[in-house]
Amino acid sequence: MTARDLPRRVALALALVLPAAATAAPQGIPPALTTEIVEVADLAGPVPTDPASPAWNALPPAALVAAPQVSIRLPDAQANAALAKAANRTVRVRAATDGTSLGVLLEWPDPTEDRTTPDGVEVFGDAAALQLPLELGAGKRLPYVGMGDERARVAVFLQRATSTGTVARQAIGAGFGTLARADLGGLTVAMRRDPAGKGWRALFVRPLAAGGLDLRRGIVPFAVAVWDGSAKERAGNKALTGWKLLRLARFPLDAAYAAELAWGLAPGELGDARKGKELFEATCTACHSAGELRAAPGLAPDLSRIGVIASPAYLRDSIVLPSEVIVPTPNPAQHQDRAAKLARGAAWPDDDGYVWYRVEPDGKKTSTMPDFSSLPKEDVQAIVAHLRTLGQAPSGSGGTP
Amino acid sequence: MTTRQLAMVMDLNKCIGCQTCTVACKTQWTQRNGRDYMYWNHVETRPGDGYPKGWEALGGGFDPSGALQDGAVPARASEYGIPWDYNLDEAAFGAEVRPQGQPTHGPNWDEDRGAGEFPNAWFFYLPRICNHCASPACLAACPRGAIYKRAEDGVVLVDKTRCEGHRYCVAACPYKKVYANPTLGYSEKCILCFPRVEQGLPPACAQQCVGRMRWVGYLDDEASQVFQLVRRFEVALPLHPEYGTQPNVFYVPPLPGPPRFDAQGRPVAGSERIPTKYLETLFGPAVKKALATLQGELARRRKGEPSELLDTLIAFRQADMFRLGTPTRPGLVQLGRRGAKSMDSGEAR
Repeated sequence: MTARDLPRRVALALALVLPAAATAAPQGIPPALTTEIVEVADLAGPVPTDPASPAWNALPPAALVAAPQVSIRLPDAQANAALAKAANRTVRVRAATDGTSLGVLLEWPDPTEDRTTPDGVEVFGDAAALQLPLELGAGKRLPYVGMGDERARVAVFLQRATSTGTVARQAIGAGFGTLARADLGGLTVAMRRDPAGKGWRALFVRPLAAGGLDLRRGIVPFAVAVWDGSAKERAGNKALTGWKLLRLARFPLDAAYAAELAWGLAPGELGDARKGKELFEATCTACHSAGELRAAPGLAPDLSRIGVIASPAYLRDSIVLPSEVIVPTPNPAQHQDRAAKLARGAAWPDDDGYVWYRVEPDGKKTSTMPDFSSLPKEDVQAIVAHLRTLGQAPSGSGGTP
Repeated sequence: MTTRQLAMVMDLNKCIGCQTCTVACKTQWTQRNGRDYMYWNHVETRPGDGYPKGWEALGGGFDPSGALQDGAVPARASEYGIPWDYNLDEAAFGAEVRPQGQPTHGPNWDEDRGAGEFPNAWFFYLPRICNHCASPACLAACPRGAIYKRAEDGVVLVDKTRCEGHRYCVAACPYKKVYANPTLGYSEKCILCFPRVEQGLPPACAQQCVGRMRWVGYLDDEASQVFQLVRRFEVALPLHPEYGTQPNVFYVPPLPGPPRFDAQGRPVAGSERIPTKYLETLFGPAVKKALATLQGELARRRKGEPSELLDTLIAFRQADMFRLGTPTRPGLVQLGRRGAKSMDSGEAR
């Protein structure tokens, strides 16, 4: 840290504590994106690799909301009992670059320190992950925030607390269950308990440009997830944020990309959420659960917390272009068709009613979600406006029964 | 798509609880690297707590509508029990032999305890391996698609390159026959000794069984004794069919045993030492018909009449108990008197 940096830091801190509306948007950034932005501090020295470094404390954190993942249900009784009571979590994010590396520090409350052990059969470690789109820039749709989708992949950087430190993973994802380890050009991680024992700090440092992922851009979308081992969280049982944006002021801004990312974020832009609620409850809840409204489990993704995690553009696309944004799911074998006529000794076939997409002989996937592109544009936007409200309450109300 | 299904039949009337199968499996597959607590094969005493303790209450499997049900990952200390050693070094110099640590449970913790009071005590042994189910709940539960069922023999396997140790399979298996290996970070389970099967050898637990209580063969092979016992005579039944996973290990239920005694020590005519009602909780309502078939054949045999079923169950020749082969070589390699014949040896045909 140098004295030269100090005025800049103070200015940055002030900007982050002021209400968004009063903040002048940085040059070229649509005002609607301001609330989504986490400023990446420019450091004169190298990005510190210790999460407890004073250099990190000097940076003002941005508070992001992470919601428990409920879109897909995983069959663990203890994890689901905890999930039913789980509230949204706040993850405080700091980010810095020295021109060659990017460091992202996550800080979140977790009163229990859970580490995997060599004989802990039922023990799950606390963990954190940083996710970036694998392809960035104008014309590149943001991937589904839950580990990407078929046509838009994600880079995932993960670390988990173990009895001897942390394990780190770099992986590429293209939907649920697809995460495959990959070399994304190097990763330094560290996880530390805060001195008061109330939470974790997890730091991810990677080169700005390496392993096919070039982050030398004015804005870089990112999302984070955290896992609480004591709540039996692992894999898809986690709390995740929606896509947010790292602002790297030292690199040029792609204005067209910024405009695409801003779709639907301006207050009031989407229209009437109350009308959207009526439309949603009259149609969508036949298959989708949302809060108190419960459809048959597994029929379609549970949307109880979707407003926290899904971008407006993704919600729009999933209504009007459902087959363009298919998220692969690992297997449909969770529902047997007990009505099927069974040859002796044959296995129960999967129940087609629970299949989220069909795979045609040519490999093309068609979503079970009907195509609502015939809906008037304002109705679609009203539904998206309503979906954006789901799960936003800090606790309870967006939960599953 | 499974084209053939390899299956095992175990005759519970013949199991003597010697655990030779357990040791055969353990020495072959689960001796080290975080596998010490794993028993891909174990023999539990019924009625009893089993392994892991109270596994039938830990959930998993499919509900009557066909939907996957939640289950729990058993706790190592209380439900599996932490394996222990003995103070043998001290005992060599005269000390009393004692377990090290404070053992609380293990794979044969309540062996031979059973139920009832003298002279009406009763129990039987229940050897358990992975059921290599036709509808595996572990496979359905895996969020990474890391579990697969081999097309050629229906063996259910964990792909270690895909498994990230999330343990939903452990929770979802209603038989608790998938084990987490926290040392290596992935799940492991009975592989039905597929490397042996591919060489024409039966699984180690079956070949080593001193009671000749295990048959191995394909369910579509009418010449196999497995087919005869499961499909033709219908005396071999899956364990807990209500779990909905369609197991491919089948059990010949234990006969009711000697009659119970009244307070004066006289046998009670027509009484059951092993209650059929209890067996129904394990093998479903079909157990009545299976027991009736077995008792009918026993009655015939006592009259000196022939019984193909009883001859099969006696297993005069161990080689007849196993018929193994591959779809391309359905030649059904048999064991000779001195062990296996290689699939590639001329003798196999």
